[in-house]
Amino acid sequence: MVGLGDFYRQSPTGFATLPFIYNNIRSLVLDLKDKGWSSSTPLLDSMASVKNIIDKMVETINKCAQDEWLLFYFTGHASKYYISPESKPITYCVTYYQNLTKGQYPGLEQFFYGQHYSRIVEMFAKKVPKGHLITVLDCCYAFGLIDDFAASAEFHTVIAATAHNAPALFDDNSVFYKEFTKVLGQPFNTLQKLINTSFANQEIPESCVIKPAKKFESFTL
Amino acid sequence: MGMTSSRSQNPGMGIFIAAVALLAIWFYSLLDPDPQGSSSRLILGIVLILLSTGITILLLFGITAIFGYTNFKKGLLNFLIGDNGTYSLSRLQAVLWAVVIIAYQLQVVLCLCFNSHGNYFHLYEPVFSESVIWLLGLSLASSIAVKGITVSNATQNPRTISKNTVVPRLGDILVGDNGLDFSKCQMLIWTLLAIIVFESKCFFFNQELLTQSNEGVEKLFNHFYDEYNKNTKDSLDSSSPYVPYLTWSFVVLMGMSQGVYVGKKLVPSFKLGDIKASKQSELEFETKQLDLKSKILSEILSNTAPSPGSAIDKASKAAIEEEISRTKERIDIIKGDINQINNFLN
Repeated sequence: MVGLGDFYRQSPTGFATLPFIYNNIRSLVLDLKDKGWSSSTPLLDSMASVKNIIDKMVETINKCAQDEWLLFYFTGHASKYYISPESKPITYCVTYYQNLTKGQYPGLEQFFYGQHYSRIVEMFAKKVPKGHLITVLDCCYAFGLIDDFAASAEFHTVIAATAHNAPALFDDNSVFYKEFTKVLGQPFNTLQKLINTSFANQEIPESCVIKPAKKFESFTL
Repeated sequence: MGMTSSRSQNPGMGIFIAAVALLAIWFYSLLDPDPQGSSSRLILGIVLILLSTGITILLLFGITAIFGYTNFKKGLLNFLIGDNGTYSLSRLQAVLWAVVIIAYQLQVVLCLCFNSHGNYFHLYEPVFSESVIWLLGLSLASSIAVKGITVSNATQNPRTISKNTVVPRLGDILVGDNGLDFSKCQMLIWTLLAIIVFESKCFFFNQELLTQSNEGVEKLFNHFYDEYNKNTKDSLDSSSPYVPYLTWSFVVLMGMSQGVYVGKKLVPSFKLGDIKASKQSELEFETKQLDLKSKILSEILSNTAPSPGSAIDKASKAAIEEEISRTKERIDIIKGDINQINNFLN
């Protein structure tokens, strides 16, 4: 689990721009615990660097049994990187680097994006051939990340939602997580409809995209 | 909206013009051949002051109408609206003194034209006592100083500029940033008192102008009161009134009053109690949020475990523990700040 509420600037309150990321991780830890999962220590704030995320994923995959399920959860910001003004943007998860909140924009190598994740997915396929990789992206531009992160749909479930409009504080969850937690016990192939219907009923201008792994469509968490 | 407002103001203005016309007729009818009758002289003097004030207001209305401000509220009352969109006491003072002084000159003209010995308009001189000029100057200087302070404050703190349309209300004249303002209240009282005293001087001066002969009128125009001249003081029982004046002590009083009013605008306008409450509420909110953060992080730690042999997880756990510790330290600092605010203000 990765949580980073900071962005390129300080928020006027002095808190991280997304203070609810801690509560999102706490809620997911407790929800998963209820369902028999075990969670390793999450990477928060300054630990949420691209190197630590990749190292942690590699380390975890190497320890996985052949049929194990692994859930990667990212809550925080995402953004778009333009190599040139005319090029197609590369969507990336904002990960920690020195001077993150000072408004300095480093190169793409400082961030976690599709190319990194493709290697992780490939590695998972090799090391955990009967396993199920679940990727949950709870951040801005999650839909932009999904194409890059959704490789190998046979064993890989991707759940993505934007929550950039959530005016939540420490004691709240992101808009997406509030709905996600309600449907955790439902099959993967029903989650998208359930969550989006709930958003629509509450007139919340958000939506989520869920691409369930073909092997595990009717499974639940 | 503009048309509706204009129409609703016009009947009031029509009544005002009719009232001034009636006063003019009344004034003319009071110019009887028995100027010695004390009751008729009293009424004549009062009517003359009311008439001249009415004509002055009509004159101002006429001037504003020429420039397109065609109703009373959008015309004359606009003179009283300050840069922050509310009615301004300093502007009210400046306008009042201007109206009083212009009206006084009209009274002099009318008295000369309708003098019991004939038309002495050719003797007219626009004479003013120094004290009255000082009072007008003080009120104008005060209104300019207030304008400067208002513009400066708005430049330095653009957030104080209201984005909503400000509707001026009569209460603005006595209300400051934090409710009723005593410095404004006392200045308004002194101004009204000064105007009443000045008008009474005008009353007696006008009585003489109406009845004096050619020579007497010329003497009156040169009859200035000198407060610090012993001979003048001794001759206070003289039957001839002075050119309308106010005593220098009163001018000083008005000056001090204006100084306090302007000076008060230069100091911060908040009440310490409000700041204390606002700051405390802000700090308490921050404390509550940080306390929540600390509890959430502790709960994350107690429900997760580092993977065996994982250096990253160990470092991550240490980082979370450090963050909890930093958050608690921050909470202690904020609580210290809250106590300091309480001790400082209690």
